Amino acid sequence: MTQSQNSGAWTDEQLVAFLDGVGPADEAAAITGAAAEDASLAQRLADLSPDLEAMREGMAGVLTSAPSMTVPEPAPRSSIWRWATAAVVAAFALGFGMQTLLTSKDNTADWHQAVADYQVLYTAETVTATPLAAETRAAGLAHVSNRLGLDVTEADISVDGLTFQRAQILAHEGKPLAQLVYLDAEQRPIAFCMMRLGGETAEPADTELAGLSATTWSRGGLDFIVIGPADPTHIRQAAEVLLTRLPG
Amino acid sequence: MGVHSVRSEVKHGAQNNIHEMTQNFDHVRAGLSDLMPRLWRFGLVLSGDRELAAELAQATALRALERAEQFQPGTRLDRWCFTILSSIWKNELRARAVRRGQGLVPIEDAGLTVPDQSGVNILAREVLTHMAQLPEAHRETLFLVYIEGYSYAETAERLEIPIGTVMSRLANGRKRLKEAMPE
Repeated sequence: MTQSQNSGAWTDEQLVAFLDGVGPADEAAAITGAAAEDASLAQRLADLSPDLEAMREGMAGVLTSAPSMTVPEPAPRSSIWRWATAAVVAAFALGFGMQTLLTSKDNTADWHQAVADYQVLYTAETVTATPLAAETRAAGLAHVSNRLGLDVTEADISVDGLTFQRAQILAHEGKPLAQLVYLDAEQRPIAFCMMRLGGETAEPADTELAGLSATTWSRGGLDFIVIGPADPTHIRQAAEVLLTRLPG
Repeated sequence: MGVHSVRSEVKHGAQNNIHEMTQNFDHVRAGLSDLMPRLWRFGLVLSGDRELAAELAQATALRALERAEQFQPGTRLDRWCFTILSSIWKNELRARAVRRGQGLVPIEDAGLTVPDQSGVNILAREVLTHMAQLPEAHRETLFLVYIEGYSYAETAERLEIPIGTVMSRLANGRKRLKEAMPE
């Protein structure tokens, strides 16, 4: 085989695969061998070799110029709730009814149960796998505060022994449900949730929902729950701290 | 099986599905906050405009949240979002940008912060400028493969083009970058 045949024996695409280290091993060996003897092949390889490291470095630099952006909130009736509604309608169509899910006479107990059913799926990993920057946490809390018509700062919701992780708005029956997530000293996820339901004042009460310890109370038209897989006394202590800070 | 237990099963089944959906939503939402700068960068490479890039990143995040139930847990959220961004750019924002004469114009004005002492932003600006000279399809393919680490096959699948097209775009793009960026 002559040198010129060697150089032309491979397409640019094959040479790129070789340069990227993804071509077949025998082809790579053949190209390496041929390039050592064939100046035109060596030149073709050089022409296909921009400084990718510089490109990567430059592109990494571009990231540092990204503007500060928050994740937008979808409209309150997000697809999740559309889906949930559809699921409920489908269940009705099956003819089994779902009175316990839908027609609860006790709205407060209903949302507490919804929170418990949701919270039981949380693990430490749910929270720690995607830690939020302090700025994002603060933005979440400001949003929650705004949605519930409160004036809450991180100092108001900080509790000894619990590390605040994030605040977000969920929804229950179309109304905003604020969820603040913490981890306790043993990395167990604890939630502090609020809804403005306009109910009567209720003193703190300890309960168990979905196997989790919970303390609930109502003040100034706001309903509160602290819930998590911790000892009931710890949950109660956190609730006692929070209820002094959030009069509602 | 009694009526009560059937009812109970249906109720729990529906609740579990709702939980899965909600968890999916939370997962997407949490992942997005870290992804925003990379979405913006991809938007910048496609549009060449800092503001359009931010708009693209925001629109992508919003659509990802609205469609969170379609996200397959266990797959890569970044890949899924990049596909959404690319589609929003091609189907919605590009035409509008062209009408307004926005985008694909001097990348020097992309609003990168003033060069710091490390020269990181000088290099960033140079690289963006060189990339901007390439046709959009080449730019996108090079970016996905060499910056975001997509395999050829994955790029072909995500862009819905044959793998041979991915390779020829890479070959062309590499040649043109080499010419633009002599050692």
